[in-house]
Amino acid sequence: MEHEKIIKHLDHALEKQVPDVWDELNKKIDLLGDEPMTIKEKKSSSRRFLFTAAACLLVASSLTFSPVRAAIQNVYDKIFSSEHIDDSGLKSALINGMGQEINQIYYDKEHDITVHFNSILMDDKEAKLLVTYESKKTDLKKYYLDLFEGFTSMNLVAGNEDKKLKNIGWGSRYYDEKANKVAEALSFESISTFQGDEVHLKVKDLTIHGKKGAKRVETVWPLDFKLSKEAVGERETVDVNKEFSFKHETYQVKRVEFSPLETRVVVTGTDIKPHFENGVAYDVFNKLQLQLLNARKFDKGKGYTVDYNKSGVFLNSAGKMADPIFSKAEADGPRDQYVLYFAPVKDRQNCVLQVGDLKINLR
Amino acid sequence: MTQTSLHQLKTSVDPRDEFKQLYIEHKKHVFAMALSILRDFELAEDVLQEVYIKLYRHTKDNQVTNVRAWLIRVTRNTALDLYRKKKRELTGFDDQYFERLEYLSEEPVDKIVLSKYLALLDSGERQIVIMKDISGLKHKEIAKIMEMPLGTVLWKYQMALKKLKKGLE
Repeated sequence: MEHEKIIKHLDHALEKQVPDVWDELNKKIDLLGDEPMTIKEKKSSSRRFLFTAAACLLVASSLTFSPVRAAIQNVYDKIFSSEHIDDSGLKSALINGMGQEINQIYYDKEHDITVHFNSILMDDKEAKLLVTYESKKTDLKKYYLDLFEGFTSMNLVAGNEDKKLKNIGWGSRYYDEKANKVAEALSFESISTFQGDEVHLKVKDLTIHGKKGAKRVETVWPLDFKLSKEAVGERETVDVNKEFSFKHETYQVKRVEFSPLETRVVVTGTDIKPHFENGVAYDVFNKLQLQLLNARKFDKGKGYTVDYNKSGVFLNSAGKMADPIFSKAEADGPRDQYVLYFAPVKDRQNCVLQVGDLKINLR
Repeated sequence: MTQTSLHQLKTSVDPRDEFKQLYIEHKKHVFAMALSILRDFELAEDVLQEVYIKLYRHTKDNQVTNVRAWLIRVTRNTALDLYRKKKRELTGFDDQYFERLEYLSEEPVDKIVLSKYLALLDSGERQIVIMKDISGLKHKEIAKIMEMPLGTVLWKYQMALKKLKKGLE
């Protein structure tokens, strides 16, 4: 066969083979926001004119499609530091500019869900992966990436093994009904030891929380990225050993841990221990925990927030209150310790724990 | 077409349509380049999407004077990265993983040529044939992209054609 004929057949075969991915591509571009500004290519004069016209439109008029889409995207860039996310630690870290931008899009074809992996941030104990996902066909109202009590899991791929990462509390979720879009801050054990390395994560399975209970939606959303130092914050631990009494129980503040994502106050106490019944150990709420939860309020659009008009457990740092992080209030830990989670504080030298009317200076 | 409607057409140009035009014009070159490295239609499709997202992002802040050459260079790097990554992930597997091939052309000769092209040529030869005969790049441009001396590119190209001819006899 002659050279020309071979190439003609090859060209024709390839032509048939090229998939049309424009629709998927278009969706992904929608998530990216701004339109491209300049593409200069050797073209016919008419095509050049069209480009010039388009560029002029973009520059001269900020009232066409692009700013609208950009504005929508900006809203979603900021969603994780908005009142819709009930994690004051995360919000504080984001406002302070912490985190590694991932900005990767994955399209789950089977469920028509476009996933945007926004960014990741962590300290040595907890990682937060910020994700949004949306769909034109699938109603996402009851869809959750529930690592806490659902079917969803976060897996780290190391070598040939998948390691399921432990959840830290239940994370935060916000559903935008108008856009049929979910924003979730997934909270799981830290992967900070991988700093500087390529990380392969897999979000496995979605959870539908409906009236008839939870249902599994099988899927895998892969995420590969190099973990940079921007994602990882340091922890400072200060031993305290201060004792106080509350409601006939004696507590001891063992230490305080400061990180860009949280402030942990680690406490032991006479009622911080498992309860035994018929030889089986049960975890029960201690009085300090009940006092913390007393100031918790729930808002449908904002999740768990704090009511400072109620008696609770608060952390005052240099006159400023650090909000309790209720989403981590039931995080796993040693059974003889209770950890109170608060937002990060600016003044680490000047912290006072307020338990009802009691004030315990932590330094 | 009236003057009014012509005016409306000109001033209502959507850059997304322009981007789609670029996609239509060059998608074959991107896909073929990815396929020449990966020998896997599904992975080549992934690269096709990824490269256009990269182009979209890149053109937000930069000018691209030769879109085709830019796309081919970026496709090559993206496909090579993916190939290395998959190889790492699939330790213990052989190259068969990369051969998820389902030929779509109904023309038997097309299928034979494509299958011989994928089976007989090595990765470098496949890339050079695509760049030269499908994307229409000059040998000089190919040498730059492949980071090879011009003479090597010419020699590899001739070798590839000989192999294909012989395989199709």
